[in-house]
Amino acid sequence: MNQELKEMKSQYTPEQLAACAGAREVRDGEVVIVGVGLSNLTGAIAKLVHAPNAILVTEAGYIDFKGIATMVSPDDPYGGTLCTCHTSLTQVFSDQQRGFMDVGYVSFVQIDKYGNVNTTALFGSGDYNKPELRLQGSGGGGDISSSANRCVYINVMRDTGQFVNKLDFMTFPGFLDGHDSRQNANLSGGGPSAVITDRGVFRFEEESKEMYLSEVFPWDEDNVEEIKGMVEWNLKVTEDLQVIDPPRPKEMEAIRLLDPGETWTIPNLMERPTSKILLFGGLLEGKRTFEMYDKIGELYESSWRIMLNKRLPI
Amino acid sequence: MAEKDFKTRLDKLMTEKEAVATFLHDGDSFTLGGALASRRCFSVAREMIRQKKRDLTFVDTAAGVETTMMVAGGCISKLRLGYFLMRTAGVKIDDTILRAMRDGVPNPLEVEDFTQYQLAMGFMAASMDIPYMVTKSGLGADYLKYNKTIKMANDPFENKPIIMVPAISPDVGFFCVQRADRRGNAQVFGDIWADDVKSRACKHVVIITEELVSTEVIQKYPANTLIPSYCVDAVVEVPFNCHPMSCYGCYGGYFADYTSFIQFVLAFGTYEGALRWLDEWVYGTEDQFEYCEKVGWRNLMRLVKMERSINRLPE
Repeated sequence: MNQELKEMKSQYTPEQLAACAGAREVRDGEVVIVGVGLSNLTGAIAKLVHAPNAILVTEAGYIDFKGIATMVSPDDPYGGTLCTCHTSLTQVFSDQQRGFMDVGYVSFVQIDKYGNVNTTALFGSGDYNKPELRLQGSGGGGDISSSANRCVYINVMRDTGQFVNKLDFMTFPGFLDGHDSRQNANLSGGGPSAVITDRGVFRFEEESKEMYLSEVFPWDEDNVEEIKGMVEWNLKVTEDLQVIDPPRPKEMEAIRLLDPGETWTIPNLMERPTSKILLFGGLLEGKRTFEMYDKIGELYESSWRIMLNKRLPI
Repeated sequence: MAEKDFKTRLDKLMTEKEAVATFLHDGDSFTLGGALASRRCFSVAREMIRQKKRDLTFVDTAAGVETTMMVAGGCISKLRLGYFLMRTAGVKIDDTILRAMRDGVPNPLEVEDFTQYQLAMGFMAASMDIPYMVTKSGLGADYLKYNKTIKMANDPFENKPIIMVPAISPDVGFFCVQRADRRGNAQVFGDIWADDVKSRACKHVVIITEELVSTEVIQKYPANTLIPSYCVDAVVEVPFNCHPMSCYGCYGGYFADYTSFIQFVLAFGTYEGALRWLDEWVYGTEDQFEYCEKVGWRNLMRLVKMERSINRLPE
């Protein structure tokens, strides 16, 4: 990698790379059901930057939220601000099974070559009942992957144990065994359309439904072998491998606006602005002062005030 | 009193201690309203730990940090869930659940996985008193392999595979709402999660309200009465009952009272830390009012101000 590309890459966190690449999958006007964390940030970037008419939905029952901040949980109260509809999980997922959700965003832990995902448990030397690592389970992901018209998986790519031959537990149905197997299982949604990571974008072959590497960031053009090495099976790479733009200035501006706590900019929890307020106030010594509450309050309120009046697109 | 008798009373007001003692018995199954960040009645979770409830089955679409708290408190022997919060704010808080699953500490924990919509369908079936509901959610995945309560069959009309979720009817559900009257007409604002069907699926329903209001206030906005009085067995008025998390339109924070939340998360990194936290914040307080006193009323009012800057209930 030459020096110029190295410097370019170092401006972004892996999460920012994945989120910005993922946001570009949303088309303006689409109904987008988002999960939490990275997938929520991704939907919100799209709405701020290029899809102002997208209707963002969360499973807690928030429909058409404006996204005044990236949500930690699907029912964060600030997610309910400026919604056009408050309803139930029951209704949202019924609407999804009916076919109203154009695209769903979810993260993944283990994924196989047909886009099936495990977010339930890593068995390790144990089993389902006594796993080495218990994960979050389905959440809305099992429902979104079943019924959204298309599904986008998003996460930061790890060296091993992520793109695997065999899942410990299939939590999100993708294309099952490939070819027509998803259709034969009577799943209503269209299945995964893309897997977005900080190392590239993967898509699925039309016939076989096998995953292939479709796009990479400019600094990874010569690193395709390295990416293939992170995948347990023999990963196919498209002949006309595309180069994706690094995060664009407007996308980075969106992240800044959406994320005053810098969750997606500063990896270490204790180095973020909110934690600094708490540490300065003596949190580790068990102290709790009104000043901590007031400063954290002001940090978010000032950001929300700006966002409430923001015209879209930014 | 028989099931029906509780529901027909005109004044259902009780204290939280009474409600937990009356409706939740060892070995029962139960659910909680709301979910992760909003409208989850943490005060009830703390109270059932104080009352040393045992061998409970918790069934819900999503479990937040209150579940980890209840498992650490030794209350839970079975979880039937669509979502577990095992990691938050970049910190793992899975030690308590893993110890229970793997080592049976403080007691063995059985787990059943569903998707959230499957659970909503189970609650819906119970809410209509029919044996099961069907859904396409989870077809082709591994739920059926490990969860023996759900089945797959071909539907008799089109002969295509469909998942059948049996009626799920918890013995009791505790639902945090923003406001309710004495008879139990309960209004919800913001997120609803699956409380529309859960409130009808439970044998007994306890409303935990942030504010007790007159029926005239309820009548002004009848569309927000998610749970009408005929579903309800008891009404408890408890302020800040979702603390350390939020309650839409009442009090917020950055998804939670971030100060309390981070203390909680740092403590729950290990099971031992969780026990120390329980000693201080649950066993160390007599009830919700002492708990609030310990958090600090002035601090809590700052969270009210924060929420009101973006969401307000219609008055």
